[in-house]
Amino acid sequence: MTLLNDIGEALVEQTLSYVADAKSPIDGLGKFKGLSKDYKKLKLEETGSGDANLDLTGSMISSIDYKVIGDKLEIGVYGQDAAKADGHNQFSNGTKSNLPLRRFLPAEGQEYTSQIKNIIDDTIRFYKAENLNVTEKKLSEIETKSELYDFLRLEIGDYSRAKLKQAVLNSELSAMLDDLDMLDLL
Amino acid sequence: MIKPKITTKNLLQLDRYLKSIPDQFSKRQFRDKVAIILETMVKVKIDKGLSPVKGYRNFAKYKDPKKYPAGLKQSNKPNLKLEGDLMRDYKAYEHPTANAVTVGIHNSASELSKQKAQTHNFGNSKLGVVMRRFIPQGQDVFTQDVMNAIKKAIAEVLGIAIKQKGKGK
Repeated sequence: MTLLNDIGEALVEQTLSYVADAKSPIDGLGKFKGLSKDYKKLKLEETGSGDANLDLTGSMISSIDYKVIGDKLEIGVYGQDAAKADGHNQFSNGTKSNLPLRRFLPAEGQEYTSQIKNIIDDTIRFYKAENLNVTEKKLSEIETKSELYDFLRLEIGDYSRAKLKQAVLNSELSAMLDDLDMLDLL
Repeated sequence: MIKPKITTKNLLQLDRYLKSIPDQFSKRQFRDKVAIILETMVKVKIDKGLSPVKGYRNFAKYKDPKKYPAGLKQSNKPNLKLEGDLMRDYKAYEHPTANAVTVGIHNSASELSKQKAQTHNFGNSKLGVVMRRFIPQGQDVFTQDVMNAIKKAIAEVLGIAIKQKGKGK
């Protein structure tokens, strides 16, 4: 799977997880507003849960999906449940929704929570380390811990040593360092 | 009687990466960390009706939500939990020979748990049970957040092993 596919799937996973807890995965929006008294009673009878978790039949939340378009990622609700999703997310200007805002997709300018962003950041970091193209010749030119971490920052990204070490120890690069007896530089 | 297969998944094959430190790598420490991940992440997802296996997302709902649980269960959320024995048997184990930790329903679990695991993981049309994958099989992996947590655990235990090797232990 490509990195964008991994990120797309991770965003869907996290969205489903947050919504199951009746929370928005969007930074700053917190818990979803509770259900009205009547609807809560109905939902409790039908599903055993009175939570505002956007899950009566499961049709809409099962339609949350992502698409990779070139080098971009799109996440949304596609198909016949798109209108229902818009009622909760309130993106459309034309339609007035009677529902309270229960946004589970970010609008322009909004971001996911820091917990979700950290998961994506970790995913990118591990992916980059796993897909490094490094020769033993290049590695053997490195003599000190500082030089190694400077090299890793160039190749993987500007992360702390601890995070770079985590990524390397889950990649084939660790085997190359082992072969060159350089593991102790990590 | 047909014996159900045990559904387990190896999480780490150390041999594939590092040659110099297997003796210092603590399978027990790694097993303990994976056990925590199972309790705090994997089972929490299952309890919400979500598959902890990448790509499977929500567990399929019951066909007739009122027919089951019908007073037998806490709610109609498909969380693989009636009395809790299946989830109690979902554990992390040290592989007896390979440098690996496995997760799943072990040989030592009850026959009923093994049967339930097989039924949920693969579905059973005769029993009218749809697949609700909760233990990775074959090429499956856990969801991204769980895999990231496992990778961090690997790095932590490997880091300790490397330090111990450096001290000549």
